[in-house]
Amino acid sequence: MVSAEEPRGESILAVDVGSVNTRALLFDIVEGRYRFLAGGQARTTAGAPIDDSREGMRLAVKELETIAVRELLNEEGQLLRGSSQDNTGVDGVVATFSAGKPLRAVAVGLQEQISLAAARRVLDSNYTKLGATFSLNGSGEIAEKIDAILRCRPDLIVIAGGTDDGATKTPLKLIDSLGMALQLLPPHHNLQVLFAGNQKIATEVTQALEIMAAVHRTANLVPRVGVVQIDPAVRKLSDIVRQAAFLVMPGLKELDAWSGDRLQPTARAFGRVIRFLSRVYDDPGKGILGIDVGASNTAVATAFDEDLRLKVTPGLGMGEGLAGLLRTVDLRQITRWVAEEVSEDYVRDYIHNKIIFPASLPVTPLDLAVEQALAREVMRLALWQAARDFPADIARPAHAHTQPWFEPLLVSGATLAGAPTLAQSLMMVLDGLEPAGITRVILDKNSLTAALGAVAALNPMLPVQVLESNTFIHLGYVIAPVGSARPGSPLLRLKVVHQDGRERSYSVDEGSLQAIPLGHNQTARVHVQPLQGTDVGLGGPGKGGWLRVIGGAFGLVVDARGRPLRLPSDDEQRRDTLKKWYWSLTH
Amino acid sequence: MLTTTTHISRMALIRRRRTLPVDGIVLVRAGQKVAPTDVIAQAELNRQHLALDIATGLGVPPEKAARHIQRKVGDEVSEGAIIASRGGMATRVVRAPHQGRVVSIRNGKVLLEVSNQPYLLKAGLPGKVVETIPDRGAVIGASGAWVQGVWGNGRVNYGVLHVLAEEAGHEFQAYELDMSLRGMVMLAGHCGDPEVLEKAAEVQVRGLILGSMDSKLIPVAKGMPYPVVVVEGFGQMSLSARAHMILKDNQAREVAVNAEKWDRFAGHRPEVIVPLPATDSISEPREAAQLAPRQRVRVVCAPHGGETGVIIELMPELVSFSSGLRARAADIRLDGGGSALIPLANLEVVD
Repeated sequence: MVSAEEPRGESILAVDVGSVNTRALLFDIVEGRYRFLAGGQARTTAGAPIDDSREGMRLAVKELETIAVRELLNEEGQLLRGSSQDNTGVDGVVATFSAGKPLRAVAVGLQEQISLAAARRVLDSNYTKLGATFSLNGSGEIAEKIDAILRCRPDLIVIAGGTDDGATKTPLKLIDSLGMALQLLPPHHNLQVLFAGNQKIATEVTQALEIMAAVHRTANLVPRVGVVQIDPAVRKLSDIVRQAAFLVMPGLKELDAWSGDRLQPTARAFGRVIRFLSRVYDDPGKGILGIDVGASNTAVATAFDEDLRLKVTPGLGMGEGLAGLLRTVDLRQITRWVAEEVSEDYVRDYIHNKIIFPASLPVTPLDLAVEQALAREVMRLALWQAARDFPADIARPAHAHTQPWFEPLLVSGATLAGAPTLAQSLMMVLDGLEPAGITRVILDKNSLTAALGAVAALNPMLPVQVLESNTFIHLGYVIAPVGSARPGSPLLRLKVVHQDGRERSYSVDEGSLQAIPLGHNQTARVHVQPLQGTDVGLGGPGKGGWLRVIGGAFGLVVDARGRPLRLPSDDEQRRDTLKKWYWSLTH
Repeated sequence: MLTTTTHISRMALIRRRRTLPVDGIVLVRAGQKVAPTDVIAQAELNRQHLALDIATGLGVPPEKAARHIQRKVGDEVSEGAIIASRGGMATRVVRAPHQGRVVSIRNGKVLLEVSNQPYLLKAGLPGKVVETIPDRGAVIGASGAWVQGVWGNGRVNYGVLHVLAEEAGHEFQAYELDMSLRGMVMLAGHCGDPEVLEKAAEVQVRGLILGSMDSKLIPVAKGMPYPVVVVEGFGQMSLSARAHMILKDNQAREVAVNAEKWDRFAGHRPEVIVPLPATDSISEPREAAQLAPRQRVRVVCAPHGGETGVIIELMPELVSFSSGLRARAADIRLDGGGSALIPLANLEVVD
């Protein structure tokens, strides 16, 4: 049995139970700095037929043992705590999970645009699926709303409404109607209610509902007019999701015990890193963007001046989550990214087979191209859905249909990290996310981000040092001007001054994608001058300036293809254009 | 590498746990024989309600409405029946706009349940109830030939098996269906024509077992009244030699087709069962296994999607594939002839 003592040593084991795979990652000190050493992986066994996540956990750790040449489990399969000179054991464990079905949720609020919107944001931060909403000013009769709740069969209800010094009668009327619905729910052994409304009525609400559900209380989402605070509710929800997971996947309790009761949802841990980066980069004119594309879920974490916005989209991903993509996106939006001839029927068949077998790998070039096309659209859809909750006052280009200024972009997920070439990874990011202005693209090659977020609470130094290491691949600085220009006309002028004093000037034409040579991790000063009124985020359309740039795997990338990205409507031209873009990046 | 198992077996012991999504009423008892379409449990899931605002209807404050309500929770009411009334100078009544049942009375409001279509849980396979699960369902046991599929349209039925697919690569055409096949379950190869599914409905087949189907037919298949089970996958895939042989050998026998959706987490899967008396030699099936040499496997996607074979060797190093991906792989001797290197992630064990 593992105790929950604070670790005194340095090595950390991070275990993540995903919907398809369970991973075990080992971090330790090498030459005075924390490093990622190795990872093991096994199929997640939380669901049928094994119904016990511990089997997958142990198999992942055993594979890690083989790769790292380090004994981590004893003969009984228990974790060896405390690292020793003979290369056995670990000092600390952290754990995350995204396996299992999302909680079916109902959001309740007084006003659609205020309290209900805040309740939705709380639910968006975790693995929940919103089935119904309930508000006083929403559409539909009360009986229709009750029927919607009954059809949803919620596991969780988040209630918001009323400022702390506001009226109590109206929110209580809402609770009364909700109570009517809850009374009619089939007996549910684990219905959770999270009350995050007017604190003056918290006790009355608890008394009214506790006979039907476990009621949790947390700070008001809208304590005063014009103020929204969701962090306390987000933390509480994380705990509710965790406890609900234990009921459905009891093996997770052992993982929780390994980690000293610190098991947390993967998306939440991922968001922590993005918020941390927001403190590090500290550029008030830009946000930080992180995206983690899983098999069943995609998490988009953005931080604007440390204000974290976390949007988890269950049912959107690269495995079972492709069903969500298919429901929303036309097949032509997917086939447009494939540089070979491919029919919509072929792509549709591929998607459905991938939904059935989410762990399968594309073996042929065509299947790989289809898979990477899907990844582009999953990222695009996830980001646009997340964008609905971005703060209204953030810095963004003046042009419509473009994303705000972000730097850096941190991307994670098996399809991105496991691409055969880094160029393919970068193209998926540039095409799918269409970053605007000046940014850096960082690829989480070993899917470590969430693990680092979980480690931060245990050891704040470790994530900092690992993030700075070569484990995270700096694909390149990207300059993407925004604005209209004549096709093929000069869009940007650059002057690159290398460390050794060499200078080189470049003219970049509209529609082109270029990788300007700059050694990996080499620094240069670059003067960027946007032309034809385009905007690169240096103070407005046409405004240029000097940058200090660090070369990535592709040096300095200039993406002058326009925002939003448009492809030729003629299929043959489109395929040629895709091939030309890829070639320009790699030559 | 641990992987799940697909059952393609001549004779197997099968146990299925069939449960309602919520508490309900179990309609069977242990030891009872059931057919696939027998309802073994039911629950209230699909209800519709009407809310009557008594306070507003009678013109009284909500806190005083209760004294005028003439019904109690549980009362059945007919359309037009008085729910509440207030006498005096101007008599006012609130009547039930529809027939229904009073399910809630709170703070001046009465909630009427006006529609309730129970959720019916079917057995899904022919067998015997091994045990009941209080309020939820039952475990049903059976023995026989067993072929699991990858996709189903949600229906359940059973009938005599008729094999249209003489070859595993059979292409299903509408002209192959006629009224002589009414009431039967068809085994066919690939289906790419919606007309086939529509003709099958006209002919009133009891089920379709397909090797593969074009995914564009999914909406059509979902609308069919008979179960459709796809065994291998979507696109052009042949029925595996093993599945073809087992089903062909059971032609003219009764077959149950449970086309429920594959839920990996819960372990429910579309499947086809030919009930046969158990023999002494059969053992409990394995539900998960490690990939290892001599293990019988199935390839889950292209190339060689749907084909079965045996692992000759687990490759010691990562293998490069034409996509550029490098992955752990196995050398497979395919049942259809030849061998191929297949990523381990693209294999599942066949039991």
